[in-house]
Amino acid sequence: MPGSAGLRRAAILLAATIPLCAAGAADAEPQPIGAAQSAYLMRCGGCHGIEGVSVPGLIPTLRGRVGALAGTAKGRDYMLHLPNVAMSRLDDATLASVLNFVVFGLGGASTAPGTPPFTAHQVHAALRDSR
Amino acid sequence: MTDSPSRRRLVALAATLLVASGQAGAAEPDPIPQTEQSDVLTLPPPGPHRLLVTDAVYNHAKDGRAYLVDGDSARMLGMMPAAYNANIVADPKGGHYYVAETIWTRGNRGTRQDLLSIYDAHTLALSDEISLPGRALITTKRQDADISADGHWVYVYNMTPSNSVIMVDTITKKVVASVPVPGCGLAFAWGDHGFASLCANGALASVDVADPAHPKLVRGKPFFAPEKDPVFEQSPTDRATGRTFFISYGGMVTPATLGPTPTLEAPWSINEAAKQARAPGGDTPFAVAWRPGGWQIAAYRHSDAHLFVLMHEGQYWTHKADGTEVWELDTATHALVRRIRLPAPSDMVGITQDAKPLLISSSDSGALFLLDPQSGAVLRQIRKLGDNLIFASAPGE
Amino acid sequence: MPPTRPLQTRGGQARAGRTIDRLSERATRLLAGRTSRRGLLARLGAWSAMAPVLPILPVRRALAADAAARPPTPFAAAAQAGDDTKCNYWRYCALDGYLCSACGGGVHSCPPGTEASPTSWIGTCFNPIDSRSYLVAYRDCCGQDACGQMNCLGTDGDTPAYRPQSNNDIIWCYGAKSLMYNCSTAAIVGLAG
Ligand code: HEC
Repeated sequence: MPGSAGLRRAAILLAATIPLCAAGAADAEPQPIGAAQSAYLMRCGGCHGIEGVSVPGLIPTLRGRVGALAGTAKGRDYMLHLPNVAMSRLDDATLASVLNFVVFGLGGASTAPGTPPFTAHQVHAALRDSR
Repeated sequence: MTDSPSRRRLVALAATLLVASGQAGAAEPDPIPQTEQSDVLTLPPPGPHRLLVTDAVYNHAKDGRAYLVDGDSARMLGMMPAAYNANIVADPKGGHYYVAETIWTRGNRGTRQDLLSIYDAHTLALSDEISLPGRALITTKRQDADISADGHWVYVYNMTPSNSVIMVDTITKKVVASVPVPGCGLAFAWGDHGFASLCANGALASVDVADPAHPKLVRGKPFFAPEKDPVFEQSPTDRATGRTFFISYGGMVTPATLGPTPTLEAPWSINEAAKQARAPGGDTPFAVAWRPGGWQIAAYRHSDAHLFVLMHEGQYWTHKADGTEVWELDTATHALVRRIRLPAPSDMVGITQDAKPLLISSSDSGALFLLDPQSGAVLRQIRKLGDNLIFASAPGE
Repeated sequence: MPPTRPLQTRGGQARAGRTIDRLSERATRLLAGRTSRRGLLARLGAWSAMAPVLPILPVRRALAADAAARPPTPFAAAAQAGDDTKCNYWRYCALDGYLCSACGGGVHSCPPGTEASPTSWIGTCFNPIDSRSYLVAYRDCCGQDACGQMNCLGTDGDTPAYRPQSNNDIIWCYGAKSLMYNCSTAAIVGLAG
């Protein structure tokens, strides 16, 4: 597939950015997974994959791809209104941190430099009516 | 081949002669006819105690089935295959049974086929098979399929894991729409042209499908906390009036009237109806209380608006534990009418809709019990009707 | 509002390359209450072969600092950590179904002849050895009918099927070749925060 080598490189870079991955050798003390990644795993990761790689044709792969969505206002609004996002029942700040984990952690090179993070305020404004 | 009535007459005549000949004595065996015709029976006219019982056969779910049982004689009248987490929906007009099922072309492998198989309710002969574009494959919930009050539309819930409801026209025998219900699941039919789904945020989404090509979806505000005290999928509902009672893990009952824009009433507590403290929630998971639980957790009787809820004593997260009692509740006064001790822990409760009602329960070894709802006495039982009897329904429900 | 779309079968085959234009078009469609499976679902398969980046976590021994952590649920209070072929093994706190470990598979392995699901739901269970909670992925094994051994009813945190991210009645075989359910596994994803 075109571009997959580049994405793979991005993924390797990404690996270093996920806090858990810095845990190192297998005999080291396991480190608790951070709050944002935990929330991602429990609310999203079953479907989208613990590393953001899922089932083509059924559930979109986020890894190395999702950043493009976060680059436009419409794309960001779309993300906020996805059923499993809007109805996650995570509080505003946690949901913002999950989306940022997705965009800046899993998104890798697909996330353009300068992409603004999601804020609790934005989450609140977008989802006020559905909760 | 064609003279069986006259044959029967002959046999009868022979029998009369035997008796008349004075040898009849005590317990004379029936005469053995020379030849006997094999035929296929049809069902007797249905009464209020014609029960439809779903057997999920969890150990080999591809062999699921549904039984028709006569509640007055506790005898099986016939069955229909219902493969793989199937849903069986009875035509409110009594003409047909609709089985939403999934079959693989080579038994356990091959091409997956999702079907709405239609059976004639008088002969139990397969009359049609409609291909569906999918089905939710979930350990069967009653509301994975439903039918409009007039019997025109069958709604089949689909999950891929995106959510939609497939609409089948039972007159033209065609799939007419696949209605997206993003973030929501199940189909509670209301009236002749609509259904409601429960959503992951604790709200209802209601869809008016008067024009199936342009369904109108209306989302309500969340009315329960789906992680702290979710409502059961098997909450009892009446398609004709839209009257529905959403029952939560913690025993709170939210009365609703489903329609284009559903209305919700203030919740009340089953425990408080029984003069007990409300069942504590997930924050104190060790606290023991009486709680609803099982699979078909409740049944509703229209004539007096009474609910029959399967209850057990247990800690939080026992929402699938079998019920040891059925609590009859008056939904008008929010009062406990009586507690009925079950002969065996049951994952389902059913009630017939007539003036001499039967209460229905099962056991984990596949027994079906028919109880007197007043005294709780076991009137009749079938020791082993099947493997996993998860649903029972009666005409007019 | 009205979510309308023509009846479509699964898996439209759109090209992989995306443009911002198409993205905004998609966003507009969704906001208008519609989804287009064709646009949303066509995805590259290249990543499924990627090696896991999460390390294998040894379950650590009890630490003095954790001595205060008490089992959060009745299941956890009665759970054991020695025998993963029994329903009360600690990781099965929310496993409703048959144990793969009793059917020729293992706690995170599918029995021979079945297929592991790429999708699942993820919950937490409390480990009695180190008194800590772990994230557990309940991945089903697919492609044969129920294996029938050890039917368990773990229900900690199990919410109804309209909340799929925490439901154990859904057959979690999305993405496997067949959605026929054989048994369930409980793979550790990591130490809960
Ligand atoms: C039940 C499975 C499921 C869960 C849980 C889930 N998703 Fe999704 N997600 C999907 C599906 C299916 C789609 C495709 C759009 C649709 O049909 O809704 C999707 C689409 C997306 C997209 C758009 C990707 C693209 O390229 O178009 C993003 C971003 C996303 N999900 C993020 C999340 C996040 C963040 C969470 C957790 C808060 C989450 N999802 C939870 C199934 C899931």
